[in-house]
Amino acid sequence: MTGLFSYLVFFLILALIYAIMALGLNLQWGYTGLFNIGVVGFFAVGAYTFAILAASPMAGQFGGFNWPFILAIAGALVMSGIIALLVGIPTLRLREDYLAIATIGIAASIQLIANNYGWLTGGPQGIYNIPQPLSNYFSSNLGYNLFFLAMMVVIVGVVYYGLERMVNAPWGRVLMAIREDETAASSVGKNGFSYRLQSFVIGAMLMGLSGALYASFIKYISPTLFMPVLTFQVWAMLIVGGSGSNLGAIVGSVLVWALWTGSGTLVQSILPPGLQVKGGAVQIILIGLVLMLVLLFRPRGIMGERKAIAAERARSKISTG
Amino acid sequence: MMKKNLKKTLIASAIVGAMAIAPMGAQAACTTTVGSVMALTGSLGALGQAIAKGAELAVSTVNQAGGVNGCQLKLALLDDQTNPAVGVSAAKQLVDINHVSAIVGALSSGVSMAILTSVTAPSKVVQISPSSTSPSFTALAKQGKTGGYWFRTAPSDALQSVAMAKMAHDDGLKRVAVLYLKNPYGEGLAGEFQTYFKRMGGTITAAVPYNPKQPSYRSEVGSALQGKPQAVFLIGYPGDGTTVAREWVSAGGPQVFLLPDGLESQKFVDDVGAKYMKKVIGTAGGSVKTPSLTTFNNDFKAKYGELPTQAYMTNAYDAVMVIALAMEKGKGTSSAVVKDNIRKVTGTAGEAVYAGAAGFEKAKKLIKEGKPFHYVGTVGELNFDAYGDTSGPMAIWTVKGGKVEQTGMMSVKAINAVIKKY
Amino acid sequence: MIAQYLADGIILGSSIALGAVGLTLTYNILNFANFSHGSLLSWGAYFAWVVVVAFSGVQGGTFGPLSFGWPFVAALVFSGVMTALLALVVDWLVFRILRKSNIQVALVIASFGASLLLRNLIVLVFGPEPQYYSDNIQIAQQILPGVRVTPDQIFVVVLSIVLVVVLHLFLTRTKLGKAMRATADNAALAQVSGINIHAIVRWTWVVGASLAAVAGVFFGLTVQILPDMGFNLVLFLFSAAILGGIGSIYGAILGGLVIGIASDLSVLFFSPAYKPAIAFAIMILVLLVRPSGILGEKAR
Repeated sequence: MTGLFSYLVFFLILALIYAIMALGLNLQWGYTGLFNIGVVGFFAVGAYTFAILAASPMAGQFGGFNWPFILAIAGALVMSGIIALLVGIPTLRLREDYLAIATIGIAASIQLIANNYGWLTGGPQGIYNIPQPLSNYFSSNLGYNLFFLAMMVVIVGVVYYGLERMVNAPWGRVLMAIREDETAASSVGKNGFSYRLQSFVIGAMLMGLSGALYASFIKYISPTLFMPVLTFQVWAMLIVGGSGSNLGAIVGSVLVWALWTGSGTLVQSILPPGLQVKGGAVQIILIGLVLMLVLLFRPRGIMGERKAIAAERARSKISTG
Repeated sequence: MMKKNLKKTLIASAIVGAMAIAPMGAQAACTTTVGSVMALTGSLGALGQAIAKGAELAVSTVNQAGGVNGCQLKLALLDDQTNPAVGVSAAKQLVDINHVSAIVGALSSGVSMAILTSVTAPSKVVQISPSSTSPSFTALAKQGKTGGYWFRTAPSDALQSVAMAKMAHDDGLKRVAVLYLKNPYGEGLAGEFQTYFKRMGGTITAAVPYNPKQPSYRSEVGSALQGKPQAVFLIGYPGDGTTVAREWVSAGGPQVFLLPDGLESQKFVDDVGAKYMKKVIGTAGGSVKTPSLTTFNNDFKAKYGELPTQAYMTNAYDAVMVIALAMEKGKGTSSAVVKDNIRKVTGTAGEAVYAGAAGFEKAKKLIKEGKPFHYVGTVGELNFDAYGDTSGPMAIWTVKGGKVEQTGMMSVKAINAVIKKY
Repeated sequence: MIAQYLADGIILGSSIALGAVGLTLTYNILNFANFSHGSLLSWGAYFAWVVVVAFSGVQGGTFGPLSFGWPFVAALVFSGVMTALLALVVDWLVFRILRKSNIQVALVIASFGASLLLRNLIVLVFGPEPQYYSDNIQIAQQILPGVRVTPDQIFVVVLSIVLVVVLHLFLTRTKLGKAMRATADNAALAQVSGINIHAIVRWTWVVGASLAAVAGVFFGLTVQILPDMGFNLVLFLFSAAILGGIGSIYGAILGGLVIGIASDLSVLFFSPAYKPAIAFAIMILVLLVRPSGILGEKAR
């Protein structure tokens, strides 16, 4: 039983790390209708910034500043915010699908930079000297993981509470008004661009925060992690949970991550030994199937009953625009 | 409202987790499970599905010889999708739920390292990778952060590049182009090779990196062909590597190939076509003189109906064999037993024991008699140093009559002599 | 050297173009970004491979300098038909139902789920290793000073041009083609004027999927057949479609060529390590100047 408990703790830490990304995406897409398909790019910026600031020095490489945990996290937030500003300022004024292209392009470029700028990012070898906060105070691995989980619950709780406050405040209502009808919103003096940029930058900073927490928990990052599939995982989490609902984003993250990782053990226990090597393919087929079934039966997601109107408009505009 | 929902979430996740895990609860009274995390899908999927067969063969070999400590050996194999986040979750499942004391894997260095730093080292579980060659592992071990639980059966990049440079130089090649996969493996080999080949007086006409999974490599091949090389040192794995080789031939490149262990693959040679490979100089960890490789090939043929076709299958086989022998030698299955006994069943001391069920039985007998022995792997003798790296001789291979064939070897002494000279 | 890179780019670009045409059609008429389009390419290549393998014992000879004979032509046709059927089945099982809910993003995520499923079905059925239509490698021959190509590559470019012309005639001269264009422009208006939308949707899949199948076979012929070949291409296809302007067939063709040529020419200026980013960089640059794509309609 301790084994199962220990695994659940580990599982929830990773699921909650993803949940922060899904919450950021929910602000961008669910509330503002910004089609960001480069989530992994901001995640990577956060992870690398944190790693460079917090890691201990390594020979022949930039960084290793040994910054304390909190400062390095702050650095990761600032850096992903800056990158989001650079992407957002030229693209958010233009058509909606423009942002989609820009974000996916930026994400691909960031991955390539990570793989090629060895002096900055360690290149293909990655960065491995990343510290975990307060790890010296714990003797057992499970004890530390419990502490990290508690920290994650607090962080996700704070992010959740903050987002709920924001979207229910006048600021959030303006966001939704712009999402539904920008012309009407601007006619009453609300600058759509400025609000969209705010939403985009805050969402991207949350993705950066998630990346920083991942780097600190796993203690190692390399370009292999920052592939487009991660963006799709986060999108699946949001859509399955329910776009437009912050709670949905969290629930979706836990469920989709359980599906993505737990299905392996399930498949492995069903398949006869001779077919084990095919298990990976069977597992992915299962993931695809469950994803589609959930969407067929709950196209608005598990928690997304009310606020998912943006979904229809923003996409249909792309093709008619 | 929020609290209630959060609780629901936690319960729901617990149920999902338990559902996925439940079937693993019931285990036979006497089964010893060895974990394995390999890329069965994703960018290394094709390679991983083959390598996993090497590990499975070792498990059935051990069981044929009566199992470990009288218990059936079982391999719990999970897919990492060539993705570190999925890989660490899989490894954590194996450690916490399957209670394995040793994990064979992962394949790519990026996944292996994430598992090492976040799962196996903190949980004190032995990890043996059959194919991760990044120098970062040695650096991490030197800082003491692996706790001594990290091993690998693939040869170090540095030794192999020196051997390759020497072979190319001895063959009279003066102008060589390097086409390498942009990952830790490709970068490591390409860098060292260039250094030594230049010191030997050779010219690197071009060193061109390529990314995995591109629709075409014609322009990369085109750049590598500039400068009129006499041969190409192609670094990568079958799949993309095959495409690059075919486009190299198609573009009229000289059909002289220098190939590392990643491409010591019959499938690769078949797909490119042996008739387009006028000359092949290959290197890989291993030694010709070991009967283990022959046993491995025969056993493999008997089990799967075909000869092994991919690189690193032998390395995965050796990883499982070493774990099983360490458990037998230490009369236990805990990770401490495995860790402490791995060096006692390898190296060069005592009587030599080879691969196969007969070899395992012989080892059992020697253990009972209290006599020292060492396992000679399918990749040759395994000398794990303090950091879990092996330094063994390099095998030289080529393609003869369409078949991959080892033709000679270069001892560690010879390689070190080369390093000293240049 | 530039001429050689240009030629390579045109060969790559013409296959991308065929795939992008199918994508832009479904994007425009069915109104969602279909990430499973790439898997149709892969399935197309494997359908053809099955036929080629089945006929491998038959000594039909080859066409002149090309690497294949009649079985390959049969394989091409078979692959187009089967891939179209596959697309119709997936549409009927998944997308048809989701279209009713009218939530576009659910369609996009479902299409990603479908692509995971379709791709790994290939791994299960055909195995993960690369396959080839022919064991022989064609050695490129000099056709112009500094330009070396293989006969198969010329065949791919020529057949792509032929297919584009046929598609053009179909869309401008036939009743069905005109109805498809009308639906793409304004579905509601088309329906009012008596066009059967459901039939149009089916034909959109048939045209898009069979072009994807041909693109897949072309890749198989000039590069290799792999389960995730289509998935690896899907971002290139999207770049081409968006670059050309969503809904514009000629735009998609042009976009495909631009992407293909730009990424091959890029090695003259940048390390090939950055090649995958070139497609995106070009796309963003072009869209900064022409926000609706090269041949797209004016933005509102």
